Amino acid sequence: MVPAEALAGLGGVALFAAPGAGLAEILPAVRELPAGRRLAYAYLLGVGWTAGVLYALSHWLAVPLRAPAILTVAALPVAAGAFSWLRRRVSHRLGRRGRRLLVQWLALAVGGLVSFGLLCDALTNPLTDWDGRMTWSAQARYVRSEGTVHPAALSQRGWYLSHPWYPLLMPVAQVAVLEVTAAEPDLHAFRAMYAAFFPAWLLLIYGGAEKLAGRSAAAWSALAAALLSFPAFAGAGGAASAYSDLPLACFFGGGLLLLLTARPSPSAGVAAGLLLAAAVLTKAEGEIYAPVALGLAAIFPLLRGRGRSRRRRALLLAVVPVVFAWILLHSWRARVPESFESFEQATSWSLLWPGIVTRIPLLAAKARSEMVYFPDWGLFWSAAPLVLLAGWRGLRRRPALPLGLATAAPLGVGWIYATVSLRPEFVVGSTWNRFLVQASVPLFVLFAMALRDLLRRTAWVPRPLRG
Amino acid sequence: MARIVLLGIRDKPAIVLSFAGKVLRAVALAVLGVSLLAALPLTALRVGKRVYDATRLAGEDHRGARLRVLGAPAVEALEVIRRAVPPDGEYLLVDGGHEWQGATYWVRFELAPRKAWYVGRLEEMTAPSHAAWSLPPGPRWVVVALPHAPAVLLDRDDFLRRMEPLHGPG
Repeated sequence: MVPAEALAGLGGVALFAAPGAGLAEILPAVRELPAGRRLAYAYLLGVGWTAGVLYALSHWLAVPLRAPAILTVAALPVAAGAFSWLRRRVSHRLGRRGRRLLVQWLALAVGGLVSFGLLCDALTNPLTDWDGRMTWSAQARYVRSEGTVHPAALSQRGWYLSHPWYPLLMPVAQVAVLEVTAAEPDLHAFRAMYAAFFPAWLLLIYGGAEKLAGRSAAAWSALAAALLSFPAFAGAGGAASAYSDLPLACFFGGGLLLLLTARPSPSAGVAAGLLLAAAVLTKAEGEIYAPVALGLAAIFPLLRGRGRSRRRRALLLAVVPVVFAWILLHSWRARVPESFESFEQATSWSLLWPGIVTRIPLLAAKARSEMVYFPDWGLFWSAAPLVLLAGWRGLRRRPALPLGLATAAPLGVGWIYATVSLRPEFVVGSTWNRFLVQASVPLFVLFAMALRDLLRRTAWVPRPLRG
Repeated sequence: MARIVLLGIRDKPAIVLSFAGKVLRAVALAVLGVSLLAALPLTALRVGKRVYDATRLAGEDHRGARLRVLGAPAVEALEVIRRAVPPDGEYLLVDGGHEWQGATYWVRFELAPRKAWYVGRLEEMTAPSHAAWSLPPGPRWVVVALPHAPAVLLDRDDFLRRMEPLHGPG
């Protein structure tokens, strides 16, 4: 890498972090989070806002996806955030923080090192993954060339494209980076933007887990997540690739966690809505996960007695951006002539029954073989079920049910997809790991809840490790 | 005495369960510990390699990176095609390998935003039992994507001429 190109990559990250910081400032629920988590939410909100608004402007108003529009869209929350900050005239309180635990330092160090390694890779090497080149970045090149989310290759029938009906949030984000940095067509300046999702993912996991399981279990869980190779380095769905699965996991998990807080404020509702709207526009599965998250947030008050009206308000505010995103997606897709054809060619719903039963042994064996593949997951999937089982008492707390259902949603979608697929083994082999990533945020929070119980009940673990 | 014995018998399941719980917790924590330790070397290796590469390759621009990753012949072939087909142009794409090898995906990505019209697999087009085929009208250029070699650019007529002795077009 040369400095100018490295700066372009880092500038791409800043392009989203800056408007996200503005949004975080004007949304008290995010503003009041500790610095690391605030930064993670800011980044996710920045990507969701900037790419989502550009997507809508290009589709409905034919606004060209060029630097002036991109910078204007990004500048709006920056200005609003600056105005809010000046009006409040208070600096962020540095919350009283106890001494960090050893395991917190460990998680921070490992997470930081892995993120740094990913950034080095993103700035040094061009894109070499499969789906990134086959679908997402190829689409981004067509979108950038014509400056619209309706390039001829997508809107005219017959051109050779993979999955032209896939939503374009991440390709639009790529275009935003490349246009603002005036990058040459072959410059991989957008890769750092994908790499930045990894620390955001870790911080989401730590934040969600800390709230429900305390610092020690949260740090152990974040450490376990940071040491997984697949979400970080996999060329087929990790942060090192240009796949949309990790961004989807962050948008879905981040939105869900905001809605599952004990008494969500209206601003938490708005932030969650923006993230879930981004999930809808990131990948086809997001269309399912966003309503799932909203539904779980809606049933959560049935499990908790307090704060129902407050939760209802937050939920209503979250629904608005999601509905908006859904309308945008379907209205955009209506102009894509080859909608769903790639999916329809690869699947048959007639296989669902009795396949959902008869295919269990085949799919389970294949899924298991993916999960025990050491270079991708190490021994994590051998340890995780044991931790969940041994720490089952920790899962008796109320948030465990919605978190469990939220974990089940991506896995269920993946299972059904494999069941109705004409090539089930191939589908499990190429998608199951990515569905695990999509489910990872609620799953790791559940893991932390069980681990907390486990650590509490195990007297022989040295105190510095238990917290 | 009998009462104590009776209590002992009654408590046995609880004692057994408690012991089993302790064992399960110990095993779970041990396996988790092993899994974290086992992941450390691989993670360190992966991070180390990336940081080392970034240091080693400092000063290499994206063109150099592309040459390093794709190889000079592939980059040269792609540049020839890019010069022949303008960015808003179109071309016919033939798969010189198998779908799972992805050659057409990589060539399409490298040539985007030029629009590709997929023609088919070379192997099927040249098979003795092939069905009749013809090139779609329009694009002048045919690009053959090969999995282990640089992409080949052919003029439409040239492509048809070369296919003739190989049983095509029908």
